[in-house]
Amino acid sequence: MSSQRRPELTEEEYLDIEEALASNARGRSFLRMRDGRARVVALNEVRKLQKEMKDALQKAQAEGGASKDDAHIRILREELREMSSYINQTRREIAALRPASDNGTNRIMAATGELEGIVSATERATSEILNGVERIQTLALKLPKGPEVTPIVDEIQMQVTEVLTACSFQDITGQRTTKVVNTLRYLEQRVNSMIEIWGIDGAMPGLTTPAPTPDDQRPDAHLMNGPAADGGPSQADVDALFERLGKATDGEKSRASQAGDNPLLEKPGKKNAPNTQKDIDALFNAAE
Amino acid sequence: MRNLEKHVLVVDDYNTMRRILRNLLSQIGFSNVEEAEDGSTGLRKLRERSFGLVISDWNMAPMSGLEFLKEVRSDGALKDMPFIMITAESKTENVVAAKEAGVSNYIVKPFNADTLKKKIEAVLGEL
Repeated sequence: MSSQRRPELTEEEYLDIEEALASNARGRSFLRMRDGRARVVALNEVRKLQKEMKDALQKAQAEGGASKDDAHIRILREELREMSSYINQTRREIAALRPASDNGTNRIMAATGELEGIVSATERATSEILNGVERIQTLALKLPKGPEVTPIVDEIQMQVTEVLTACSFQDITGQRTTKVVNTLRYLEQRVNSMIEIWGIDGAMPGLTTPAPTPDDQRPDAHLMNGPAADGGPSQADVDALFERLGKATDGEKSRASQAGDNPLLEKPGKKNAPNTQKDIDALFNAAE
Repeated sequence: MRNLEKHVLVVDDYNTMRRILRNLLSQIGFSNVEEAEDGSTGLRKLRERSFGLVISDWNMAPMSGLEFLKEVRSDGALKDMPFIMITAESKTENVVAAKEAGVSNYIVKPFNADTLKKKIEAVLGEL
């Protein structure tokens, strides 16, 4: 058996891996299972330690307490007191993560609600903008045809089209916000899990643990990540990818799909980076 | 039948997006546009009447756009249906999955009217 120590992960590496796992339903299930198992191990360890300390104290007391042992007992008592203090501090800090507010909710839930409110508000505003734009379209088409008016009507139509496509922001921001809301819900589940571990609920009446949101069961859930964080790819990238896919053989495409590492599909220095429309277009043209 | 006379089915869970697409398609010249809010409703509509083009979002529930596309391609009567995916999902793995499932073309959100028209022409031919 090798005595060589396995290399430790850096904090950044650990967080990256955790974030990657938390980005899909199966990963989140894994994290929950891992936490559950770790919780049992940690509790067992603490109980074992407590029992050992208690036994040591009882033994020392039974033996009449020689002066040398008295010092050990004092140290043990001090250690136990410190442990107790740390445990209480941890409980307080976890409880502070989700203090009950005036309306009976907590900060994470309140933030989630605020974000959902933003989505609804932008949806309503977008709908009103669309109503206005459609009225303008209708009115523009009612203008009398003529050499002076027609170019103006055409310009109005063009500007209306610009406004319409700009209104698609609501879909993008909605998807982004939903990602944040899902992250907040996940955080809340983790905080609730910690509260459950430390038994804080009993100490703070009114705190309840909501049922966890069911995981996404769609077969392609792992492929639905929403808009890219860096503002997204251009259509040209996607078109170029399509072109490259068309040139690839079926076997290459299949491998790429399974492993995500086909050099044909990689953008230099950006593995699995978002693509532009140009990449995809080129791919389609080559396939035909 | 001329391409602009074909019925177009727009499938998206965002009402705003369906409305925008309907309006843009109308400006392009399509007058027969129907909407569905998810893949399963879209599939039902496709089986109820004849369509010449499907424009679908990906991220929908309970049936996603990719599942919807696979259902369309596995249906003998619909397998050759022109199908354009319009989505914010633009990673390589997404494009590859859609292509392998048989998507006719792929548009990344946010898009503009010109891109929409060009992609429709690439799939249907000159409008």
